[in-house]
Amino acid sequence: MASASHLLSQDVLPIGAGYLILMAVLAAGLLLVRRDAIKARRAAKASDDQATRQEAARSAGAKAAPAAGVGTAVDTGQKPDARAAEKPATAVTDAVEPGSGGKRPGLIARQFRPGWPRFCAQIFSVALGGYVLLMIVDIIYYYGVAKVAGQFIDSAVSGGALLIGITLPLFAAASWVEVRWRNRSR
Amino acid sequence: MGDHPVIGYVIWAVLIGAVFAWEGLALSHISGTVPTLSDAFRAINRYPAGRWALFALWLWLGWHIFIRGWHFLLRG
Repeated sequence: MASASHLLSQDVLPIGAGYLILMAVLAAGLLLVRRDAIKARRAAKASDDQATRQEAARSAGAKAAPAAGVGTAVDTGQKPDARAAEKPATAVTDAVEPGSGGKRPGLIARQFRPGWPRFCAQIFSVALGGYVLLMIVDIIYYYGVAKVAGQFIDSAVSGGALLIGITLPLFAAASWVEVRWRNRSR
Repeated sequence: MGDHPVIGYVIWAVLIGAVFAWEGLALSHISGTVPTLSDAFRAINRYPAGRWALFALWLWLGWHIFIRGWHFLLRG
């Protein structure tokens, strides 16, 4: 019975928990990908509809203009400019930076100016958020699921911090070299 | 195989194999609708909570592989 309990706590639960976490993350990714595809289809359809409406309005205007003497402005052609003028600040702060692969900076990183300060803020905020999240999961796992032997919590806190302490400077150095390399090759 | 039963390793092998099979299916474009792991991770990376979750997973993996049960070389 003891070996069955050992098997459950040391093999089945970690495998099950790891599998569920990985699959949940992947499922979230798949949902997001599917949602993006639906959004893109809707946007394309809306764009087609707008183009059709504009074309119809243009042809109607062309027919009406000779009769009225003055052409009427097409309403849909003026709206985007007005909308752009309404939100200049967010356009600057939320802008996708070149070379970012389409990713936008996070809420914290957006408070910093573009370049190295924003990059560092982004990296530190992600590292801190991930570290805190892992610690929360570890503590819930330890006190709620299985009391794993071997100073589990101490190892999680110090081990995670050690990994971050080793990898972040290396990542920063690699990024600096990559940027220097890219600037030189221009 | 250490202290663990073989079935545990078999399950891990099947799960990891399933991930590779998924990626192969997505890259082969046979179905046309299966996104690759890169697509999924890219979508997750757009959101702060997703980035935290992925970083936490990466940290968890590194902690298990390199830190837990690791002993310094030549330590008694």
